[in-house]
Amino acid sequence: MSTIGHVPERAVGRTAERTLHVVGRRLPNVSGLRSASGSPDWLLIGAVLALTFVGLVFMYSSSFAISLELHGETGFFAKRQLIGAALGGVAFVAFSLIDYRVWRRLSPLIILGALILLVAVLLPGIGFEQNGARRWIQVSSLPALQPSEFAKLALVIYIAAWLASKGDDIKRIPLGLLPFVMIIGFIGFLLMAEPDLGTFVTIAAMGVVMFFLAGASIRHMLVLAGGGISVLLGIVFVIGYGLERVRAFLSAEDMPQEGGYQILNLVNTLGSGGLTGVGIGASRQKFFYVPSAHTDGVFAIIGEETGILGAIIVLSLFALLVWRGIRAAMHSSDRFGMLLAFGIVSWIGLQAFFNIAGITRTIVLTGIPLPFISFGSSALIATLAAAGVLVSISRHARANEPLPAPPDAEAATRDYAPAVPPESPFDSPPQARK
Amino acid sequence: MESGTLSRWRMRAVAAVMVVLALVLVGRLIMLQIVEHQRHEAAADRVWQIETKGPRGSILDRNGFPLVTSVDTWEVHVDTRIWGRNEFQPTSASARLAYLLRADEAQVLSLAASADGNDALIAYVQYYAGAAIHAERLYGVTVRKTSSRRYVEGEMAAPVIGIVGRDEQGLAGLEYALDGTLGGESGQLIFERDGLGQPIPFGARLELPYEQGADIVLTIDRNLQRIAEQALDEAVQRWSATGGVIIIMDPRNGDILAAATSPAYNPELLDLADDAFDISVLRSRAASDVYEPGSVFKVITMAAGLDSKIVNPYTTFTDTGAVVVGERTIRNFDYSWHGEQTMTQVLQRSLNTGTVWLVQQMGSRLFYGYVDQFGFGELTNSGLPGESEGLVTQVGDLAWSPIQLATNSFGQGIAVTPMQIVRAYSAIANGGELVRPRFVRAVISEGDVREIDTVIERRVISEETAATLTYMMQAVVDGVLDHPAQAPGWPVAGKSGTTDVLLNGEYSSETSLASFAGFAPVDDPRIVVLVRIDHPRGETFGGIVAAPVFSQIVSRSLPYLAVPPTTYIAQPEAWLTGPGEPQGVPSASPDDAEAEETEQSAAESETQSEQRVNEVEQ
Repeated sequence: MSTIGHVPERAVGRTAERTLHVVGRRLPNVSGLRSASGSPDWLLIGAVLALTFVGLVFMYSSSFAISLELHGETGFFAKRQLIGAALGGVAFVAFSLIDYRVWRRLSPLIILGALILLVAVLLPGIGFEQNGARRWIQVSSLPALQPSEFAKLALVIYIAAWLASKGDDIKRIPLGLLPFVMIIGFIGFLLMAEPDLGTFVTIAAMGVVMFFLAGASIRHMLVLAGGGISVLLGIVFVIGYGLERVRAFLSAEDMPQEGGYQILNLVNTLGSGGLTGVGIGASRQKFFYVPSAHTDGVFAIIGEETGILGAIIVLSLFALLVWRGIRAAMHSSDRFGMLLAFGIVSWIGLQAFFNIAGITRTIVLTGIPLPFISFGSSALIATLAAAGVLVSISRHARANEPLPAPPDAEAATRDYAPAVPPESPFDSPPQARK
Repeated sequence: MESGTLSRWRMRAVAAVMVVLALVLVGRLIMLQIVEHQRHEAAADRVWQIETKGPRGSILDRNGFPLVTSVDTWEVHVDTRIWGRNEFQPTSASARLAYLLRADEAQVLSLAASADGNDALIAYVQYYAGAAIHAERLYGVTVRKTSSRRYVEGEMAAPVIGIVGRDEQGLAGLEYALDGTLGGESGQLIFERDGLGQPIPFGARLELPYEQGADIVLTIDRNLQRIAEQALDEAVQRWSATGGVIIIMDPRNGDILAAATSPAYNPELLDLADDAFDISVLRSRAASDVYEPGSVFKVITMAAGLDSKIVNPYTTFTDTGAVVVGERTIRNFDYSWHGEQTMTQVLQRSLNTGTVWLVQQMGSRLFYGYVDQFGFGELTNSGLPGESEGLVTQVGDLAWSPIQLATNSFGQGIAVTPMQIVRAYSAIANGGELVRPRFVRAVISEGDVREIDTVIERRVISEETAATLTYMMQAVVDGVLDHPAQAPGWPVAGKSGTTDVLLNGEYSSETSLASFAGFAPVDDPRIVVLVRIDHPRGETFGGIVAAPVFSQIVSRSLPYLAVPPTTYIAQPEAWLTGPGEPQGVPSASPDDAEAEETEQSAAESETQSEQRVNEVEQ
């Protein structure tokens, strides 16, 4: 961290940091690890809060037409998203406070739970079908749950834990490439049974990034890329799933009545925003022109209402989150934290990219929701939880990072936290802030 | 197993990829939102334009009773683009719509599929059914307010009023002729619509108001129309006829009080799409169909003779039963001969030889001059669509010959419309002026009443001629014992006609167009009536088939028109005094005629009554 901005940020953080610290002490001391860390990354938290806030604003704006149409009230979807944001906020704070290293030990349990949910969703009576896909679990009158969203979180933890435990073995096919492909393949198989290509693509991309970071051989990466592309082509052209979308992407103008209608409307909606947009709430295209205006298409509405300025601001918030996430990863002291932070960053970053790129007709429209913003309580809760993990990692990273010379000796004794010995993050819990 | 931290270059590579991806998106946003902004804004075209129309004007009878009005109904439309997209159709709109329309879903879907473009018109529904569909807000389904015709008096005057198409465009009759007045000017509603076709709340909206159609007050009187239609139906049924026409006109101002034609139709049940439907019933037969008037036309010949002072009612000629003209011998309808006959008797006995003698006295120039003056061969401009001019051959035409002149004198070889006959008879009834028949009395546009003025085309004959001729025509009816056209209580004037019709290329004696034209009461004619029964079975003579219908109409109409009956009873003897002074002419009261009755006429009347079957001529 540079000197500029360091002091005020630090000063702002102090009170909250103490609070966190106190709260952290009261948390159950899971496996003997108590929160022991530096202050969290306030820019990261700011990006998360801003994205969530922007999401709620545009949830109301983009969904009120369809809410009114389907449910007779304008706030139907916005209210549910607000509840999701509240639960997500709790998850965010909790995951920020919990030492992320806990998850490494719990990773087998977590992935097991995720697999149970992913299988359960396919069972009749538990999972239910909507728009031709089984993606939701509904038990009695409880709110519907979308397991694939939580599976992302489970998988990023599991892969991070698994890769962290590998050294150079990762370069060996039987110990690296093969198990990796099997993990991704098995999860992918369960997701495609729903089917949910969007989540699969996100998970696969996230996994590949982590695999690459863990030190996979470049040759294996190329094989993986080739294999991944083959699988995708197979899904599209052999199974036929998503073929319409590929055709619509390539030649929407020739098929305005079929799938082309969606992509043309998305692009026209975004494009009609211009520099500053038509004004928040004043979108016209949300009146049933933009398909799924409040879910996958929400970015088009943001672009229409706030123009390129608003679109770039939202893009910047994602960039800020990615930047601070990568920064936390790079300053993290352990492989697991690094891999986990990179995994979460690539999950959120790539998912946002796939969504926005689809809407801007840069890539094929895949039906991937925009993190933090698109409608979906499960997604919002899981994403906020993941962001909480990121904050937790950032706190530990802060504890590690070498700070510049303090302005005076007193400040040094007060603020300076000695680095946790990198070789023993688990055996001896960090004592710096005792 | 732990190997410390991750490779720095790999982390930087991932970060670099992230930066590249972000920049790609920024580039795309600049492209779409700045560079191609205009194009996308234009392509996101939500502006929709629909034509708005006010309710079509009503058609009222002369006293303001509605005959035809428009009521609010709904058009049910489906945007096929929306139905083509599944995501906005979570509940099956087509099934629900079919249920509401009491129709088959497959039928609804096929209607939607067969539409040109995106907008499919599915159905027309009544007000409450449409409101119910509107309330459901089904996906892609819009209901638009429209209106449809209601025929308050059912089939009444249908051939005159005509019909409209589904879009309320006039197709026949006065609906067609007055389409612009009734329909008004359509307006436009321009609005931003949402993807389901509904107007966007608070969206842009521009409304160009429509101009409402005007109400039309007809000259038709619904009671007289009913009288005419009932009489026509009865006669057509009684004589197993193929059809007929009855027109009642007010000779003073040209008002058509009733115009009944048969065959008619029920506009409520009309199905234009039915292949079996005979479109010819939609013609305004009263003005568009021509026929040979037969002996009804002798009155016109006589008017010409009287007005040109060639003859008077007592001028005599000798009826030998046959006149040779060129290669043709013209005989009386019953091959009879009567010796010396007055002009009045020529009309009474409907002597073809008499009118031939008369036109030969007049010459063709004079005769056709009067025929033209009476408006034959000329449109009546009554306002009915598809009016025919008829056909009068003139001297110099290729088809003309002296035979033509002779046959024209008793109404053969000349084609006229019923409306022309009524107009010509009105000229006699009103004292000699040709008045334009009219169907529209007033136009009411947004409370503003615009009366239609009577148009007097020209004077045709002098008042004196008209009076004299009226007297002679009264002799035809009232001067004959128990003439079927007599209407006890009112003096009537008239003339029958029997038109031979071609059957398999020959004039048939089996069938005819039996007609009777006349007016009443003689002293102040209020109605001119033409009755024509087409192809009666069993009898062919107008005097037998049509005259009683005329009598029936006069007896029913005049009380309705508040013309009080008197103790008047026809006195046939009064017209048999032979040459001498005209007996009082129209104003001549029956009592006067009775006073001048002579012994001679009394003696002759016995002979007359024996001959009355003959006198009740063709």
